[in-house]
Amino acid sequence: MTSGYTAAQSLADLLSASVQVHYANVSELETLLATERKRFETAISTSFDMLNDTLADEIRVRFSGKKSPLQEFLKSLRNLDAAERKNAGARINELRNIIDEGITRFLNEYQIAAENIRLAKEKVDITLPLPDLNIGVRHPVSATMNLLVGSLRRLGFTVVDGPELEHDFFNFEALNQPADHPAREMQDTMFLASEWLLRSHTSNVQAHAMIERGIPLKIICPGYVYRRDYDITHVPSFRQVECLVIDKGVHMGHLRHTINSFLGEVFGREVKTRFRSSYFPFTEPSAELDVECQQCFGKGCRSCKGTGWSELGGCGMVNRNVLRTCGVDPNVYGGFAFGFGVDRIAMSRYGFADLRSMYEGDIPLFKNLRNQ
Amino acid sequence: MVAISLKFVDMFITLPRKSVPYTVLGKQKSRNTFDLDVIAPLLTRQGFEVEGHTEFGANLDTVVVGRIVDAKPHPNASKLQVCQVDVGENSPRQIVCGALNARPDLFVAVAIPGAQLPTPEGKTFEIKPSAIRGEESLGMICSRAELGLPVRPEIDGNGIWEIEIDAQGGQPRTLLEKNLGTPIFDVLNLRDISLELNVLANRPDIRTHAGVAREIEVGFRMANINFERKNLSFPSIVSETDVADSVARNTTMTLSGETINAENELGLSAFFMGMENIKPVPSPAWMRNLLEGMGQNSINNVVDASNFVLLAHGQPSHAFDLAKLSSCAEKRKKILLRMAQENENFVGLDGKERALSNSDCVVADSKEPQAVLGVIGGDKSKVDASTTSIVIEIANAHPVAVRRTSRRIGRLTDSSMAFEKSIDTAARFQAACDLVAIITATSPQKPRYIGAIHSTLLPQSEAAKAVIPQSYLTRHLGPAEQKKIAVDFSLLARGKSVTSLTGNEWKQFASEKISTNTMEFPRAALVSLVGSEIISWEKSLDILTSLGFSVTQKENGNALVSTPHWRWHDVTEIPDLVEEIVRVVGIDSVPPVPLTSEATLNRDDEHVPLFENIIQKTVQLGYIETAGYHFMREDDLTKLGLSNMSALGEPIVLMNPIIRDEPVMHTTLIPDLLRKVARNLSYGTHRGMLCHICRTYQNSDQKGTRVFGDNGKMLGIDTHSSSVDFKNLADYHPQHSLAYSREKTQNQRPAETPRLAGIVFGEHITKTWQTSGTSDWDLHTGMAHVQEILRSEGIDSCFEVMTNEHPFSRALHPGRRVCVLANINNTPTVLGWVAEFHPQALRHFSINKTCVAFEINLPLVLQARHSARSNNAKRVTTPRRFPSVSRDFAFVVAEAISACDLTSAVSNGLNLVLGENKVAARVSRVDVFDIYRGKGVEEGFKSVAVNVAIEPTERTLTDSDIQKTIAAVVESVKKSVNGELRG
Repeated sequence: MTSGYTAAQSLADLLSASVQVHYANVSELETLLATERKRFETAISTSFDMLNDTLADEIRVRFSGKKSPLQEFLKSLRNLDAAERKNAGARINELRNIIDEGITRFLNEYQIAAENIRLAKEKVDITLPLPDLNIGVRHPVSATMNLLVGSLRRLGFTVVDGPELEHDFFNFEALNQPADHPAREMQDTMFLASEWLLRSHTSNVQAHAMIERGIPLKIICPGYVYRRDYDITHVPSFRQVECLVIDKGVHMGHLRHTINSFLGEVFGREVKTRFRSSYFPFTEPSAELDVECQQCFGKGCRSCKGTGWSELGGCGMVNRNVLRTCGVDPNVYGGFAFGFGVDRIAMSRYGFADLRSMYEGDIPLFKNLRNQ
Repeated sequence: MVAISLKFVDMFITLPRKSVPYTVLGKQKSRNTFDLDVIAPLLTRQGFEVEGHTEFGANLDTVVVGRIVDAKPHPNASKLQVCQVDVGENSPRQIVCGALNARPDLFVAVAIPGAQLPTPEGKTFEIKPSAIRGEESLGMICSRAELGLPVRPEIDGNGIWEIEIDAQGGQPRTLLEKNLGTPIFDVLNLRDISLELNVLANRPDIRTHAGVAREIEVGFRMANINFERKNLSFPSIVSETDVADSVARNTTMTLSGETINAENELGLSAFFMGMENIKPVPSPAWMRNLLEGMGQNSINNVVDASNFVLLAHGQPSHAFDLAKLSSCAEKRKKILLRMAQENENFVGLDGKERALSNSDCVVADSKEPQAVLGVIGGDKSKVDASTTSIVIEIANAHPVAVRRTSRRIGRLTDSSMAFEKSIDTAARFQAACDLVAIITATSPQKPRYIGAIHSTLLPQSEAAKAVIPQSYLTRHLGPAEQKKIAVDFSLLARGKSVTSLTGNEWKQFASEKISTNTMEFPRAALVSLVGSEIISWEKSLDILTSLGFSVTQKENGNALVSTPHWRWHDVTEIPDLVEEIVRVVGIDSVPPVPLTSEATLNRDDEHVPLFENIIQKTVQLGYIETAGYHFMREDDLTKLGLSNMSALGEPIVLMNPIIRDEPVMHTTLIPDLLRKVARNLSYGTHRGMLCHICRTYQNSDQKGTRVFGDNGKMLGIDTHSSSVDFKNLADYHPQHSLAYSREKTQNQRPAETPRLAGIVFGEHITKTWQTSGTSDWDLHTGMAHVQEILRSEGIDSCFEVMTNEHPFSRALHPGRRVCVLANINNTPTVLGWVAEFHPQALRHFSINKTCVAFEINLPLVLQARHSARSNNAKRVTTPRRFPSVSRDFAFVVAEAISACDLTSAVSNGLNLVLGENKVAARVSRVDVFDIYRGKGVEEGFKSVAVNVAIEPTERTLTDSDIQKTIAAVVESVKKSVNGELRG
């Protein structure tokens, strides 16, 4: 410490010492220059730990500032004979170059050293909580819907929207569901008036599209549908997406290929599917579509109730009665349709046990969904 | 879901079995059980998913047949006996038993230590070796109840199960003798597997065991599995033809000296059979065990026969005790199919008393209802041990009427389920024959079949017309026949009038396998619908044949196919035939073919990507997207402070809401969001951002014409009396809804208006280790959000203070509410609003935090975007080339001067000096960044700090440029708002 003190003191002495700047001839000047150079070298060889930003700047000012001895030497040049002046000027510039170069290097080195010392002290507790960036979250069903719709659009399907408040004709009659079909009972469908209801499937858009837009068609109809159910796996308003192709010569092979491509898109790889014969009034033949359970890959687990398969949706060839009702000649045109309940898919994708929990708007629950 | 007993199916077709090993009393044994691995996948693939199965008698292998060799009174207990029981071991084992009927030489069910017996609570308890009052007991002699089987005290007594008694479900001693130590469920043939089968709506025939057998048969044929078809072996008493014949001819019959006739006000066909010399007895073991294994109660042989026929063939029937029916005159009894009277009293077989309604169909005698048609029989006329003559009713109830009645009275029966799903009307005569045969075969004496009658048709009553629509009758009958309904639909459906048929024709009708549906099935049809030849033509016809279709090949290679009567209603066209073939072969075998359709490159409906972008932008701002059920409560709007529930346009009331207190379709997304905020607060989340994009609905078309005249009437909700003031509805006017169809007109279509709503509550900036203070959400942040959302669609928006005229104003803070406007066809139009809520509104939703919300009409956004597109040219499209110049000013202005007044003055000043040939720069920012009141500023004035930034467009600005600019700003502020530069 003593030597530290001494070093600091001697630097202070050096900076504050009065300097003789007047000279009468070149040889006097050379002596002064030599002394100044020595002082400079002493100053910039000061250990960095002795220095702070102020001292470093004082050194700069002392040796290369506007009032530095060097500047004074230059001013005094005019006192010399013209013959000597050139030589003397060269001598002064020589030292100035040394000082300029030296001071730049010194300050750079000092800055790096000082920074290193500062950085070494600047430690933070990285375990402190991170700031909340407050980034929003899409609803799990919306996110799932986007995934499905995105895939289908890439397969060339066009998105068509339709009404949710619907006349009996579009929801039932046009879709081959006659007056005493069980689905038309109040038990399952919510009614607004005797012939108006909340659509119970997005298939109403099929009828609208065939009648109002004409054929051929290759469309998807995403949207909300309504059923009179409310329990752990049912909510009264939920989302479906439905696909419809109407064209000449469409057959079941096309249906299978389209579904395979679609699922390949959605899952990013080939998935095993299973078609189970089924019944829907608006398709014939009809089938339920299962995909291999993505939790256990067919082994059987809780999520697929041990079957190894999870239900995805229904599909089939458009019923001829539907085509007829919608003004399409079933002897010329045919088509296929398939549809999925998106909430169920979202439910298994995000691992919700109770479908209703997706509708409660619980913020912490939704914030956790960000990465999915 | 239907429960199907494999043991029952096995009565129609031999099912494959597999050997399953088990150990009992230290011996390795094995039994043959039905091989589910073969049966289940086959049914599932053909369209009948096996969702699960239960094994009757599972885990009861250690309950075995035993014989009591010796029974002595317990030395230390008066009510116990010490029994020696032979279970096939080297020596009898000692078991202490408390039942009075335990006696030597009785065959009994013995639970060996280790057995897990079921308890009524659904748990199990284990039998352990024990000492009872000092006597060793190595097992338990069981009652039926202790094995989880139903007990009928009058047959089973109250002691242990006497397994040699037929009525108790037992077996002959000779058989038991040979099977000492063998599991009781095997020896008594109780073991069964019940499948939970998911039956499709178009296949009610699969709800029956005979139907499942048919479906399994075709699967076996395809998979080359050996099988044998079996018939129920009950000696025939009367033939199908004879029943049909006498039904068609007769309107009266004489039964036990009484004349019976039937009348019909319903218009639904029905017939009745009479049987005498009946003496109901407990059902034989095979029947009792079969029914109880399926969870049914065994009552007596008559009732059980009716249930058996229902389970086997799907035909409901009901037997009335003749003696218990009221007489209408001496020796005359009349049965009437009619509608019940309102509040008419009825006691069902379940002993429950019910008040009927005038929408219930009943079968009545001359006095009162004796059965609710298709649902449940009556207690009063039920068949019991005293019965000697019965009238059997076989009616064709209306599916919807049955469904409604059974739901309303809370009684779903096998019969009601069968009718709901519709029955095979053509098979009713065969079912009737089977019923008579089974009753006869299970009766110890010889009952007499008397004959059958049809019901005479009276005019359909008004009440009946309301329940059974004419359309239903006409679909089943030609209009001409309706007037003459005298007998059965299935006869008339063939286009023959009853009176015109000769006796021989009737016989012919009943004997031929009826098929009304014959079609030519072209060879090419299969490939054109499926895309490939997945099976040979011959084999595909084989499939149809084994499913009961009759197939004849024609010379041109096509086939003529007739549909069997149990498939009449669902197989009507060629694709239906293709489906039958495809589902049996398996859709998985259809090869995928790429779809190359005409490349019509269509555009998505325009609003679809717009709404998606908008919600995406909202979420980017930090909002969490929520979803809801689209309903609201009756008082939601008044709780907000609005004048009535129609303040935002008349809402639509559901006729049958599912959530009782939310019977109304929402007209705004706000109440649902507020409830979600309240929920989060109550669960401990005190800040957040929620948004919702969703349609809202109004009982009005786009022109403002009311759509549903009876809106709300059914639930007694008055939405209409407070008339809607369309003039001030602004962004809630139904004209701003979206047309979701392309029908010729949207008139009389209720308005559907998609909206975007967002809500922020609690703290905006919260206290963390990084921040020094907190601040709540404020209006301006909400406004910034809305502006940013609209800007993402290229829409420049502005705000104005919301006046009291706006329909939402009363819910909002009077000093902190704005409307957001944008140009639509050069007219500034209100798209929606942003505001802080009125604290009163929040209190009604149990919210005690500041809430700022917005709601925007999206069809208007769509229009504003159209208008904005034409403005694109004005936008700055070049990047900056020179550093911008920024200066701060502080102006002292009067309190009344708004921030906008001041910044406009600044902008005006700038616009005077900036531009081509002047100061070459453009304005990049004019923002108020501080407001100061207090020392140095006079009362009634404020000092407003404004930051101004300009971007040079051609060169770096000179000092003189900057001075000129500053002077222009200062002068403009002085001139416009009398502001002074603060020293």
